[in-house]
Amino acid sequence: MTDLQRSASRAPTAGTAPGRRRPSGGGGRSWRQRFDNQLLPGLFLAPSALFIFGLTVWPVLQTFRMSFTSADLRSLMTGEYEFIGLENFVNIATDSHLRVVFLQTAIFGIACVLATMVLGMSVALLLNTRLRGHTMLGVLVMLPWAVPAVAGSIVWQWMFHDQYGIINWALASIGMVGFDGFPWFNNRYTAFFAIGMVVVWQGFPFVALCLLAGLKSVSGEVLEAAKIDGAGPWQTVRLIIMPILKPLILVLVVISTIWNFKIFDQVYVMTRGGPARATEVLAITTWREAFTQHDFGLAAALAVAMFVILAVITALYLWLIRDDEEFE
Amino acid sequence: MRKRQRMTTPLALLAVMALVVACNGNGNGEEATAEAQEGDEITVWIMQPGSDEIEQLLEGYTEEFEEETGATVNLQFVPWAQAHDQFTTAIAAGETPDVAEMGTTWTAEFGDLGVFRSQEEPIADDDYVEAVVESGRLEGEALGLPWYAGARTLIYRSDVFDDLGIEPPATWDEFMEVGETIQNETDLFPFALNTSVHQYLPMVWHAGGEIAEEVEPGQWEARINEAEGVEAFDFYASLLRDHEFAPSGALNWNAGDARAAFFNDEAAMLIGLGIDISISEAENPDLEGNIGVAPNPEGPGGDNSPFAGGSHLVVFEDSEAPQTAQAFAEFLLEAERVSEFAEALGFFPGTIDGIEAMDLDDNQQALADALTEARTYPPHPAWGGFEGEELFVNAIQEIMQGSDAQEVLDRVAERMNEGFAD
Repeated sequence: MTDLQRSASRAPTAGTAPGRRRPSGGGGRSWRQRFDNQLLPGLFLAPSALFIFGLTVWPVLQTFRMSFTSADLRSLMTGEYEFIGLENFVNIATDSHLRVVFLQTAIFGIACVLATMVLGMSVALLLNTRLRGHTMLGVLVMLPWAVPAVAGSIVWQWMFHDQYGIINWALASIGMVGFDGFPWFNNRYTAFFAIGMVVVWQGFPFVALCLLAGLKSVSGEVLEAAKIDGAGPWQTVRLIIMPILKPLILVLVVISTIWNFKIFDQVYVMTRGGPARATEVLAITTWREAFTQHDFGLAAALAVAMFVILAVITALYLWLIRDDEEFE
Repeated sequence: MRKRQRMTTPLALLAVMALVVACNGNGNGEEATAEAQEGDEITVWIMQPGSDEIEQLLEGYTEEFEEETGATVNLQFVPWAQAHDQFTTAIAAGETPDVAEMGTTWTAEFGDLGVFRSQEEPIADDDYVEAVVESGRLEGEALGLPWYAGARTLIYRSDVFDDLGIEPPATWDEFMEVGETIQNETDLFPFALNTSVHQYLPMVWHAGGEIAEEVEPGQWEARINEAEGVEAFDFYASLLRDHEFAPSGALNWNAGDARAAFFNDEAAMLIGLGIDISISEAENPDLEGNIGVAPNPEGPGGDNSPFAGGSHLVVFEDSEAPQTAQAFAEFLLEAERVSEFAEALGFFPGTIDGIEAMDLDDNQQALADALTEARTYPPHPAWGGFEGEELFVNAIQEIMQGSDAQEVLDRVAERMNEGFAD
């Protein structure tokens, strides 16, 4: 928007310049030119701006407003809300369960980001070599990305099933008999491990693809020079490739962080936040408060809290991109 | 022969289906109460029954109604798992259907918002299964019309019991004995337990307690944390925690997982519905004739009441064609249709006549007997929220993982009283 405004305001200076040479009778024309140059672009933009406003800004504003109310289903029906100030936010800050939810959302999110990046990088490096069948491998690697999150989660849930899951069967068959009937979803940590597997499995193809594109852009001359100077493969990756890809990696880390903080589908399908609320993450708690408790006020406050956290990360992202542009 | 129907509400777009199969008009012959107005258009949400045949049955009724009345019915199937969210969204947006199937424990919850039409003609208690009538009432006002119902009771492997020379357990003590015998003598788990609320909440009654009590009209108080409730929850939890009557993963099993363990020849007992028997026999034909039904084991309180769950039909207050909507609900509730539909689902009609009219085998008779004696949970608007937040599921899981039952249930009672007070 700012760019457009800037160009719109710059344009008239050039357009009105000839008008100045004819001091008399130029008023109408200059008004029209001003309309053409200043207002018309705005009018053309208005419908889509309104659309974007209605779909993004308005709901966000509504959520902010609702977070200061004790909205329930009845208030949504009647449109009458009771404002309760910061009570919902005080609630979030003081409730011990909600504190745990924030903490485990953050830890789980960061763990998933790390795993996604490491796996993505490894796969990208593998795809970048001239292995036989690397095109085929590239296609296969992309497959998890093409599977809808819910479908993928259901499949993995079955694979982790204590009685009929292929994972317990496979682990038990190679001699780890402790995994026969192992209940992955009984315990917070093993359940998060299983959910994390799905999140990483679905997240790494995108990262791998982006990094592969980055790797392709690393000039062969640089690599050859490194080789001549006696750099081994590990040194090449650590000292040459990583620094060159640093801006890209940073951006990918930020994007993955945003995604992994919003995780909903995988947890909803695999544990619904159970057992005994042990695997609730922020998005699940928000859904729970809104749709099972009809406490839309608290749910809105949780959504606002998540919005603020993600806004900060996004700001960081935008700042990094700007840096990236300057770098290039 | 499929024809696509037009969806009227925006929310209907979210609902998955608006397809009508135009080939199952089997002409039941009965006349509808037919106050329906020709040219009216109504939207009906029915829970997805999980089988094409049953969907076609409903589509057949719909066609029949359309032919008889000249009204148009948009029949849409909503999956049970998404239904609560979808009703919430629809009510918030003021885009409700005209008629809907409602889970019996949700009728009071949504009814409290005044979205359902009051069923003016009083429902005679004797005509219907009591528990389902009770759950359809809110402070004396009938909101939900009992459609079909089922009671959970003890289902067991009769072949295994015969081989071991044991009888189905009649009391909790016998249940433990029988369980230990199965555990020692066979490679089966004694009991396919799961953490769905309908497994252990009725045990509070069996122990001689109450889940909650109506102290004054409309005013409820939790009783679940009294000694009987604590005993019941601790007993159920101990089956997994101390006695390993089921694999440890059962902590997270739902009714479907438990049923799978039963029909996959891994467990000898199950607390379930008629539909669990029909699905088990379909999945594992070896089980045909090898499944028995018995009343729930009696607890120390000398009670063994099952819980009756099922569905109501509700007519929405906002309906633009209330006459037609009401007529359609009554059309579905006519004896022949309701019996045919309930039987296809593996449930029973909500009417006593309907049940008596059915030709029942021994197992079905035992299930029907259980239903007429069944009870239901407090029909309070807050109840749906308790189930929705998995209040009781979380509690039993905590106790199974070693928490103190009294402490956990004190918290549950506190939360329930908060809900009752709102």
